[in-house]
Amino acid sequence: MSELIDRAINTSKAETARAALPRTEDFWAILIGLGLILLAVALFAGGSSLKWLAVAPQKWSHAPEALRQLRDHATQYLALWVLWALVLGAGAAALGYRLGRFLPAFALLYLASLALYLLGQWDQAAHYNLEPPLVALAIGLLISNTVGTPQWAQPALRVEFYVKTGIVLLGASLPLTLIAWAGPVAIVQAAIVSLLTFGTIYFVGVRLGLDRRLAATLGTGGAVCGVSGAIAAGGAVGAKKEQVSIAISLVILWAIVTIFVLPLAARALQLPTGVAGAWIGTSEFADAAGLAAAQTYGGYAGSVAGITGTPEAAVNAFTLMKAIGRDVWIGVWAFVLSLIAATRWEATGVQSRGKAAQIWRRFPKFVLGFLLASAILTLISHGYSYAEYKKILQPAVVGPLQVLRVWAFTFTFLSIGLTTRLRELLSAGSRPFYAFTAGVAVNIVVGFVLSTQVFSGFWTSLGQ
Amino acid sequence: MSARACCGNCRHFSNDPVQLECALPGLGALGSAHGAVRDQDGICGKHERYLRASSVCAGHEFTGPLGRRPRDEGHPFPQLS
Repeated sequence: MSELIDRAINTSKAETARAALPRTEDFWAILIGLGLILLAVALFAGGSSLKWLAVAPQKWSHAPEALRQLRDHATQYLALWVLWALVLGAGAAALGYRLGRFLPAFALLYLASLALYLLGQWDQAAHYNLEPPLVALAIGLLISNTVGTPQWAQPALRVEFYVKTGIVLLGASLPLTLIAWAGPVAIVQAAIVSLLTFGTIYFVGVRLGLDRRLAATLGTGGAVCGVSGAIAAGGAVGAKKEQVSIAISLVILWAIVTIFVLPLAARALQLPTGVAGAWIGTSEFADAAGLAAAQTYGGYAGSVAGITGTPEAAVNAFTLMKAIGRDVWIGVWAFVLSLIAATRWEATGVQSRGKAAQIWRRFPKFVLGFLLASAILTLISHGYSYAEYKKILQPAVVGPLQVLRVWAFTFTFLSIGLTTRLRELLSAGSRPFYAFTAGVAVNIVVGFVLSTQVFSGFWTSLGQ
Repeated sequence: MSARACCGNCRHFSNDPVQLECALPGLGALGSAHGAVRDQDGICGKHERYLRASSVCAGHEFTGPLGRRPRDEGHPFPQLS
């Protein structure tokens, strides 16, 4: 009997390990992102394009113009909703959400995103500082913290799912050669900032009397990848449940603050878009929050005097810095911390072995999708001159994918605000707050110096 | 051959993503319990700790294979239900 139970356990564990990936957002983000890219390439090869489906509002000056756009393209917008509902709905269902609950909620999210996208195309939007990511965040926060986000809308508010899908799609507009060229600089810059930030939070925290496990969880949240970093480190060191909650709260609190502060500070300093993107990528804590800030800043290019570079450069530099420079190292941080916790820190009554396998298990797999997307488009564009790429591939393949990416990011920005309840973030306690805030200060200052002084030329040239 | 006790097959442990997002406010706002970085980590109701599924303690109580927790047994910590 015991043997039968053992076999059942071991078989199921093996199945779980194999079956775990399809139940993660990373897997579905890769599947959806690469699926859309391959669809765009297949249509292009067949003499067609994804352009009709990848519809987006165009610039407008007066309300009747905007309404006419919506009326003229109503079928396309409906078709695009069907496409998103199909692919994201399949992912949500695989993650355990009921399709019947996801679809109506997603329909509302899509309509709100369309309104925001349209607002961003108003020719006076920049004049009134109506940058779509910030407006999405502000509206979402207002609803969530006043009347409250309705419970039935929750299944569609999957911030990480949308941002990962958007990042995979982003890979299609970044040549692999550029990633190879910029990757090492991003890794060096991120490593310097991550180590200094972690060290600051950890040592200030311990000095203030915090438990080492809390200090390490806070430190990883601030230094590596925000909420994801906090839960990876929390699990690796066996932190108390409330310690993980504290780290999550502080990460979100500062991430929301920096979404607004970093673009405004960079704007005041008139930083080139590539430089600002690198700074945001170094100093923002979460992917979704950072993309909101980077896309906001990219929107200033061409509309705010003195800001040079392309809008794309801010998002590209951010993604290189955050995804390649910081996110991919989370498994290594978790492994090292689990070893230290198990061998050096006071016992908790729970034994946990720090296995190197977690480096891969915790690896943010969506980054592989981002790299694969880049490789596919690099391969497809091989043999095209730059002029041909701009004339043929850009409008037929890359452009529609960029539009889909903006949609995915708009879903993300709305979801951030609608899922953030500020009341829940204010119970962290003063000592964790001081420790984390010390790390935020170091992070922002060192990130600024590295982006604008040490590697300034590099990040500026990314935006040319 | 003997079964290796671990949090993943302990009745006090829960790593269901939806329940984790309820138990850790804010996790779904700028993160997710459905991401690869979480691995199989979950919450132990006995120790009130966030642990790896491969961890173990003296209070382990076998309940079933990892990821196959019978729903009709009732949840070990109702606040997550």
